[in-house]
Amino acid sequence: MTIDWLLRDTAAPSDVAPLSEYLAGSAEGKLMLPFCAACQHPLDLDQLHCDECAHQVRVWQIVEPAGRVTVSIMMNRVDARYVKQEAAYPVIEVSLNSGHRIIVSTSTVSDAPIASGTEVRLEFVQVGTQYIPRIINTAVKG
Amino acid sequence: MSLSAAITGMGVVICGPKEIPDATGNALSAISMAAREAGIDLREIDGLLINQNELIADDHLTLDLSRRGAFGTLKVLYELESKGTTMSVLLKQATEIVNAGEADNVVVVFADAAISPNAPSGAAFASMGGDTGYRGLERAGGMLGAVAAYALIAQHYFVERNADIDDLFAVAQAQRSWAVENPLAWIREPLTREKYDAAPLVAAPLRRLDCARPVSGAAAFIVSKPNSSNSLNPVYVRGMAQRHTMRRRHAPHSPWRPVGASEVFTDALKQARTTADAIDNLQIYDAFTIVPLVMMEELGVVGPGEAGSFIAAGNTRHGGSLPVNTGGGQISGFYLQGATPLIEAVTQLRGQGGNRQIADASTSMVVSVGGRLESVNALVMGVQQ
Ligand SMILES: [Zn+2]
Repeated sequence: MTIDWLLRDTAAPSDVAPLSEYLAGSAEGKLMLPFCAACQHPLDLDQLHCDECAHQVRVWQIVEPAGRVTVSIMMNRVDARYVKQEAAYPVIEVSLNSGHRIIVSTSTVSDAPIASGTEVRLEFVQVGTQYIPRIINTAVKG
Repeated sequence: MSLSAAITGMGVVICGPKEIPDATGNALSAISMAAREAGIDLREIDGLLINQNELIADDHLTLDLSRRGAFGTLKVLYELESKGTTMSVLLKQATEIVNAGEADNVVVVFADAAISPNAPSGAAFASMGGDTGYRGLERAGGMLGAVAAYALIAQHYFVERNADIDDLFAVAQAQRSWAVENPLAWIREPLTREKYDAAPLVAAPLRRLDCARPVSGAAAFIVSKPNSSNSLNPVYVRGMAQRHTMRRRHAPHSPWRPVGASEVFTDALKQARTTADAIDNLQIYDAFTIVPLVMMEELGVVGPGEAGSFIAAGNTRHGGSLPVNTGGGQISGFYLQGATPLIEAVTQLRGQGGNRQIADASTSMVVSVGGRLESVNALVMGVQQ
């Protein structure tokens, strides 16, 4: 697995609930997210009851690591405690095909946002001991 | 008819950048100022409602404030947390407590120690988050701090409302025009486009001048039945409505729009037995310039995508059809969270606005927001009960 170009090890998320299942999936290169066991509605990672049908059981499923950019910003003020490089970098909100939304950056060096509506795929990079999804930006033209 | 409870005293303390902040000390100073205005002795205070504020500073108010001051026997004492809407909620509750006869002189107080000589900028706000849950994942995505969260909201607004940075600038410039006349504002020179463009980007599209100015300080209000010992005209809390929808991170829920804002607007006016036409100043919790744009449209005071041109045309400035954030707001004035718009509303309704005073101001609406536009609160205040 590639070491992240962007973040220091200090930015790694903690492997405790509600991220445990998610990060366990990431470690195997899979995007694992929760759904309602009754109606298959996408749920937030820490959501216990379904907002669609109020069912109280959820299931974790592997989803396609693909979606569409909703919006993208640049982080110009770089926090050296967490970020390796000095230049501004993109932060992108992706609406996954599963219905979940996640915040990611790119898998290789980038200094530009990605246009809203762009179809993207994700791969994983290593931050500390964790594996984090990033947009495969080699194929993306912002 | 007996008089209703009203705001009869207000105190504001804003520390200079070289001062070591002390949340409790500043809160007690603000309370003393408010008590003086209300014409009461500190020992007549029998209710203390504290805005719980653990946003960034370690130094924050606790219930122990009651021991460190010289209050009477308290009939009500609690802390409340409802994010940026807390102060408005507490003012409404204080009014109900006094009207119900549960206490006579209730203090509503907020304090923040956001900056100090050792940490002079808003950098502390940049590192909010942590390594667990969604905030942990956001940080692993490179998203650091509240500015980034509001930059995403701004970008959503741009895309869906066909807006751009000209609209953000319109807000920054209009609010600065008010700050010029506010002695409490941190910056009081008119804002040109050149100066705005020269401000460093924090999280594009947001520049430093799109962000609230953190300060250390405190604000206190006394709520009591008006009487002849009050030194200033009472200000009545006439109506309040709120909606809270914590942001879900999946379809079909919007990643940026506040839910229920237009209902909040109409419900608050209905409670106050008045109409939108009666609002002669609108005070919006404006931690970022994007917030007034979004909120004016979501409340329904302008149509979708129209806020920027409405503001750029001068409508929200002095002499305009709807004065907004008449003290410069949190951006050009000072950031005491939900206290900032309330302080300005009371100032206007008392006629204490000096050169920025709106003639015959009689009805203010204070719109506060919490989280990432997840909580919305509208409070109608007026000179008539
Ligand atoms: Zn369901």
